[in-house]
Amino acid sequence: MHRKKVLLKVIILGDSGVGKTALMNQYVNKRFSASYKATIGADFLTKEVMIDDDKLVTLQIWDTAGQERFQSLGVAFYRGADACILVYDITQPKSFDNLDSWREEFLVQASPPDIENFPFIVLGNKVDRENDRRVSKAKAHSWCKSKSSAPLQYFETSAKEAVQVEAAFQEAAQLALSQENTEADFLPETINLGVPSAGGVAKSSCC
Amino acid sequence: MATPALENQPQYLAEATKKVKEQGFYMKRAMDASDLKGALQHASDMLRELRTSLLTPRNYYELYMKVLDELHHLDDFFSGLCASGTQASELYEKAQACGDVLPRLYLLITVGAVYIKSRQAPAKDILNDLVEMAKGVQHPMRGLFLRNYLAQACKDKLPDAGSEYEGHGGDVSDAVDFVLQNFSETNRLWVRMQNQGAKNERKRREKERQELRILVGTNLVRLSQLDGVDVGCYVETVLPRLLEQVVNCKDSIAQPYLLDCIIQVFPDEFHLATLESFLTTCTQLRDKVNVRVILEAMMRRLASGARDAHQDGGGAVAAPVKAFAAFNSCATKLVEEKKGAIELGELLKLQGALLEFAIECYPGRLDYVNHCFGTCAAVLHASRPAADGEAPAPLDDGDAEELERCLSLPLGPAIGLTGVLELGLFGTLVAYLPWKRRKDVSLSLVKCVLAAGEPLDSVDAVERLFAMIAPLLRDGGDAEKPPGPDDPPPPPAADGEREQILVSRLAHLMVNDDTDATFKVLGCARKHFGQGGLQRIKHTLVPLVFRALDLSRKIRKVEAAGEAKLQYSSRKVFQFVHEIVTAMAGSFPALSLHLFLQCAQEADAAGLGAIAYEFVSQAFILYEDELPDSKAQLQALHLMVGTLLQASGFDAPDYDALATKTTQYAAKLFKKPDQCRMVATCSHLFWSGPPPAAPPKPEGDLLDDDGDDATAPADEPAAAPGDARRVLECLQKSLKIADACMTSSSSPINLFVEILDHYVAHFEKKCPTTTAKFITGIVALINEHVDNMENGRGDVEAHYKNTLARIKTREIIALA
Repeated sequence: MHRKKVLLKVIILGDSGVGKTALMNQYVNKRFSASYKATIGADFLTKEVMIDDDKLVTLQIWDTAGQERFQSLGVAFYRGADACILVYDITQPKSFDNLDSWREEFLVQASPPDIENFPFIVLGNKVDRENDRRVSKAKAHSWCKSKSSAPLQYFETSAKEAVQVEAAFQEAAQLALSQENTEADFLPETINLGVPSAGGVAKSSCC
Repeated sequence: MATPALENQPQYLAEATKKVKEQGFYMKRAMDASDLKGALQHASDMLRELRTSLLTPRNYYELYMKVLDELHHLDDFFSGLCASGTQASELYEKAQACGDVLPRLYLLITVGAVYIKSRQAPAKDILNDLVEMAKGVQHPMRGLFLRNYLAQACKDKLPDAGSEYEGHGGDVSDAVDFVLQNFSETNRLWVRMQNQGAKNERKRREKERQELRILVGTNLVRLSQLDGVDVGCYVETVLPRLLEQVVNCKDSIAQPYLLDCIIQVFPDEFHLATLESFLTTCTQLRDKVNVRVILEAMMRRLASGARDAHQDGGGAVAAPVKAFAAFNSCATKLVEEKKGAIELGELLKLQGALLEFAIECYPGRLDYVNHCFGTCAAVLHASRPAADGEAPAPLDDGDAEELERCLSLPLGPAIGLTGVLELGLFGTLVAYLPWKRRKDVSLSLVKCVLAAGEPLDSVDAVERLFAMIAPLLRDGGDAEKPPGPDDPPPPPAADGEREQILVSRLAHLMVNDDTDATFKVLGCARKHFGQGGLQRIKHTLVPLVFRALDLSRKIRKVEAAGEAKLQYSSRKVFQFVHEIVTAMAGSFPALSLHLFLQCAQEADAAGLGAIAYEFVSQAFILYEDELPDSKAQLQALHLMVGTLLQASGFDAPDYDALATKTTQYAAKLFKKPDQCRMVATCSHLFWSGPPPAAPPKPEGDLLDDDGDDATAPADEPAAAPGDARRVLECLQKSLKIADACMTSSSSPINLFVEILDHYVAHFEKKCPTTTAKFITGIVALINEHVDNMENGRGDVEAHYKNTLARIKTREIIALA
C-alpha cells in the first residue's frame, strides 16, 4: 500500500526575487517572511493534496535558484517533472520577459514526452503591490494564449497575503495528475541478469 | 583522483542510470512483497552505482537525482514498517549490515530520518551519529553528495525552535550544531579537492570545484531556514562560526563564494547587526580574493533592502544608519593594508560601489558623495603624481570608464542645480578623463541641471557651473596634444551640435526677479560663451540675445512703474545685445541680420526709435557687405520688409530712407523673378492700408514730396496717408521686370498674376494710384497670355481664377 500513493513532481521557475520560495512556503507552511533569502541549488517540500475529492496525491514541489550562479551543477532535477509553475513579479517587467527563456530551458532540459501539451501554469506574483504594477493582466493573458493551443492557466497571486496561492497549486496538481509522467519505469524483461554490466560498478574505485 | 573521461560520459551515465533503475525496480518489488532484506539488498546495489569515479560533477549529480527518487520510495517503505510496529532501532541496525561504506551511509541516513520521525530516540542523538559517521567517506565528490543527502533528508527533522522534535529531541543549538558541522565537513572536502591530483589538471579541478560549490552553499540555506536562528543566535553563534571557517580554510575559491552565499541567504537585519565583523573578515582574506566584489554584493543587497523598505512605507529594515561609515572604513583599510596590490581600476570600482550605496540609501547626503570623490581624487593623485600645472599621465580606458561612472552616478534626477554645485571635486576628477569622456560627463551634468529646472540666478552659480562643464565651453584638444599653430580644431560633428544646443538651453534657466541680477548673470554667461569659438557661439549666444530682449521688456515694466531704482536700464540691455550680435556678425551674417532685426522690433516697441534705427542700419550694412548669396538676400529682404511694416517708432525721414533702400536692394536681386516679386512686395512699404479713424502718425510723416495728400480728409481715398505715387512706381517697375522675363518659350504669366494680386490688394486698401484702369489693363494682358499659354500651367490658371473670383465676389471692379 505504501507504493500506491501517487507522487507528483512540480517545478517552480522564475527570476531571482519573484517569490518562488515565498509561494512554496505560503502554500506548504502557510507562512510568509518579507526578507529576501536566496535559494541555492534546488530543494523540495512535499504536501499531500486531495484531488477531485477522492484522490490523495503527494505533491513534491521543487523550489529552484533564480540566480544562475547558484545552479552550478545544472538542472538535473527538471527530469521527471509532471508540471511546471512559471513565476514572475508584476512589478518587474524583466521577470515577465524572461518567462520565455525559463519555459524553453525547461522543455529542453526536462525533455518531457509530450512537449506540446506539457502543463505549465503561470503566476504573476506580488499583487499586494498593485500600485507598482508594471505588467498588465492583458499582457500576461496574451502571453499565456500564445504558448499553446489551449491558453496556459494564469493566476495573479500574492505569497504575502495568500491570494490565489492555494488555487494555483491545486490547479498545478490537477494538471500534473492528468499528465503523470510514465517514462521512469524500468522494464525487467529486457534485462539479462546473468551478464555483468560493463560500466558502473566494475570500474568504480573504492571509497 | 581519477579523471573522468569526457567523451564517454553519456555512455557511463546511461549505464549507471540503467543499473539504478534496474535495482530500484527490484527494490520496489521486494518492498511490495514486504521483503525487508531483499529491499535493503537491492537498495545497496543501486547505491553502489554512486561509488563511480567515471562521472563529471554534473553527470554525477544527474545520477544522484535518480537515486534520490528511488530512495524516496525506500523512505516511504521504512515509515510504513515503523508505523506498523517495527522498531526503528532494528532497521537502523539492519542498514549497518551493508558491506560498502557509501551505500551503507546512504541507507543509514534514510533509516535515520525515519528513526527521528518515529521519535523512538532523540533527534539530536541520531543527527550526531549520522554527521559523525558520514566522515567515513573522504572522497571529496562522493562525500559532498552524501552530505548533501544527509542535510536534505534531515532538513525537516531538526530540533528547531517550534519544531515537533524540539524538547526531547534537543533544541535549536543542536540543530545549528548539526548543520554547522555538516557544513564544515562539506567545506573541508571541497577545499581539499584543490590539492588532490596532478598539478597540470588544476584548471579542470577548479572548474569542477566551481560546479560542486552549491553543495557547500546549501548548508547555509539550511541555516537560514531555521526559525530558531534569530538575530541574537546569528550574532552570537552562527556568523562567528561561519566566518571562522571562511578565514581558516585559506582557500581563495571558497572565501569569496561562502561570503557571497552568506550575503544572499541571510536577511538584511542579520547583516546590519553584524556588518562590522563581516567587514573585518573581508580584510583577512587571501590576496587573490577580490574583496571589492564581496563588498559590492553586500552594499547592493542592503541598498535594495532599503529601497524595498522605502516602497513599503516603513518596512522591516531600518535605514542602515552607520553602514556607510562601516563600508568606508573597510575600504580605507583595504587600501592601506594592500597598498600597491590593488589596481587603480579596482579602487575606482570600489568607490563607485560606495557611491551607488550612498546615493541609494542616503539620498541628499552629498557629503558622502563628496567623501567618495575625495577618495577618488587621493587615489588618482597617488597613482599619477603631476607637478603643478602639468597634466597627469592619462588613465587607461578601463580606469577612465570607472571614473566616468563614478562622476555620473550622483547626476540623477534628484540632485538638482544646488546639489550639483556642491560637488566641489567634480572638476578636479573630470580633469583626469580623456577629452571625449570629459565632454560626456559634462553633458550628463548639463542634462541633469536642465531636467531639474532650478534657476541659474546668480553670477556665482554660473561661474561654478561653467567651471564644471568647461569641456563643453571651449576647445580642449590641447589637454591631450598641444595643437600646432597650423592645426585648426577639427570641425565638431553632428553630436557636437546637439551638445551645444543642450548647453545653449542653460540660458533659459537664467532668470531672476531682480532685473539687475539677471543682467549680471547674462553678462557672465556671455563672457564664457563668447570664448567658445565660432562653432559654439552660433548656438550659445542666440538664446542669450532672446533672454536679454525678454529682460528688456521686464525692465521697461519696472521703469514704467517708476518704483525701483535700477542699475541697468533697458537702453543698457540693448547695448549688450548690440555687442553680442556685432561680435557674431562677421561670421554669421544671415543669422546676425535676423537678430539685429529682432532687436530692432524690440527697441521699436520700447519706443526707442533711434536705437531701433541703429539696429536696422546694422542689418543693412550686413546685407550690403556680408550676405553670401542671393537666397540669403531674398530671405533677408522679406525680414526687412516685415520689420519695417511692423515698426511704429521711426522718424519719417529715417523710415523713408530705410524703405527706399530696401526697394533698391529688391531691384538689384540677382534673379529677375526674385526682383519682380520683391519690388512688388516693397510697394507695401509705401501704403499700409485704409486710414483708421485717426490717421497713424508715422505713415503720415513719411509723405515728404506729396505733402498735399497728407492733409486731405481721412475718409477720402485719394487723400489717404502714404506715398501712393511710389506704390505705383513699385508695381509698374515690377511689371516691367516681369515683361523682361518673357522668353520665346515661356511667358511669366505667374508673375503677372502675382502683380495683379498686389494691385488688387492696394486697390482694396484704397490706394489712390492703383486705379481700376490698371487692374483691367493687367487682366487684359493676362487673358492675352492665357490664350497662348502652353499646357501644364494648371496651377497658374487656378491662381488666376481665384483672383478673378475674388475681384468679382468682393465687387472690387466690374470686369468685362
